[in-house]
Amino acid sequence: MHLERQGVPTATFVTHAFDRYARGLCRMQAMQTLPIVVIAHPIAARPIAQLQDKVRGVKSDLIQALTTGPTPPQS
Amino acid sequence: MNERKKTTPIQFAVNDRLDDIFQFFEHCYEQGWTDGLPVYPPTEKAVNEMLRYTDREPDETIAVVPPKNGVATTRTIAINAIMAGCKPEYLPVIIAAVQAMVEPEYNLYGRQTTTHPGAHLLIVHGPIRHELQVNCKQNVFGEGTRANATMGRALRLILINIGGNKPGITDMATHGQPGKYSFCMGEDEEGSPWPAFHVERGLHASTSAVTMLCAESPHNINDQVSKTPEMYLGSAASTMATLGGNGLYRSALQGEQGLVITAESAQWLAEFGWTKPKIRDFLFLNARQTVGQLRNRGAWGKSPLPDFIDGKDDNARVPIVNKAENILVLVAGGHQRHMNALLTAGYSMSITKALTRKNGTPITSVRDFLL
Repeated sequence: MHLERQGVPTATFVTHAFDRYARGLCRMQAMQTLPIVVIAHPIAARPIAQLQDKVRGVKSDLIQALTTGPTPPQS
Repeated sequence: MNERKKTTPIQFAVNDRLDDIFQFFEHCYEQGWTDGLPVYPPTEKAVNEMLRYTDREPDETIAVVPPKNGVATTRTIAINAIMAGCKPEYLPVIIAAVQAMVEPEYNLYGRQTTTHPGAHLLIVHGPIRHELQVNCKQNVFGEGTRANATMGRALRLILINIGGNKPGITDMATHGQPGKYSFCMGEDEEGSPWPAFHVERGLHASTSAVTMLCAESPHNINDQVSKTPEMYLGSAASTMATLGGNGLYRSALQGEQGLVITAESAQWLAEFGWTKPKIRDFLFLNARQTVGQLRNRGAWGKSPLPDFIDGKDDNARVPIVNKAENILVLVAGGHQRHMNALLTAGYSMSITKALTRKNGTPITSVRDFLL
């Protein structure tokens, strides 16, 4: 959120277990359109190949998040 | 981050009948305004009585509480304190505690939204402990004392109702811990042979104050047998340098870890010439694990090692904090030689606040506000 407020495009990765949490925090901080990329839970201690597969699965979401203009401040 | 959110006051009429009090709790629970336990109705009379114990205006902003950035006013703090079961005279403590929690170094936003089971320990110092009958001794972390139970609870209700703390929605604590219902203690200053904690922080002994520390459940250290301070505190060091704790992996960051010892143990240590600084130094040197033990487990790799540790040396011994001063030593509890480790996430610093009038003058008694 800090980076987006400074005009730096970001992509925030969350697993689906934290999706509602992330979006709730974004609403509370008036950053509803912060780009969030959701991947399958869990990721902790998973083999690298498995993690790479998860990221490949959201490649288009990741590209869109990073190439979309910075989220403007919202009230 | 500090933007204020406008809120619409909610009024709920409650008659004096017991049935209405049950209905009040059911309504509050359905609305998500409780910690799961019954709450008292904050009637206008109760709120006005509590507001006598401050010289702040009722609608004065005391703090902005994350993650919702809700505005905690004197009145809304009082409302939540009454719901928690606080006596009116507890208000100055609650206000100071809220002010402490929103200091940047406390990192309340991170603590409210983490997977870590930290709860907000309210430590009470100075003469106010006696005035409000805060438990500093037997069963200090347990049940039975109204001041401890309700002041700690008031902070949780404030974090829920003003700060937006909701389990599973904004509060992602994996397990949480019972201290999230209430976590409050007083330091046993009279039983301690050493300067009180708030005096170490630069306050006068006669100044009443609070310290907020975000800590895990107290972890008991039961050493009834050791005959030397080194062996005794070695037991504490072992417990505090747990491979599953955050401290070892976060010690390059600004964080603290704590130890609570009884007056009985403190007096015994003092007989050997030990002081709080010596205890801190000992724990800093001995509450450690080797790089080899830490590698690829716990929170390895998520933070750098302290710059005085060679990460390539598997035998290098990593501490739980970045300097001895960040080990907090408190005296509290009852008889015998149990100790309790107050381990933290390592991302938050404790904050101490004096209890004062609005102009900053320390109070001598909560009754100062009634004059």
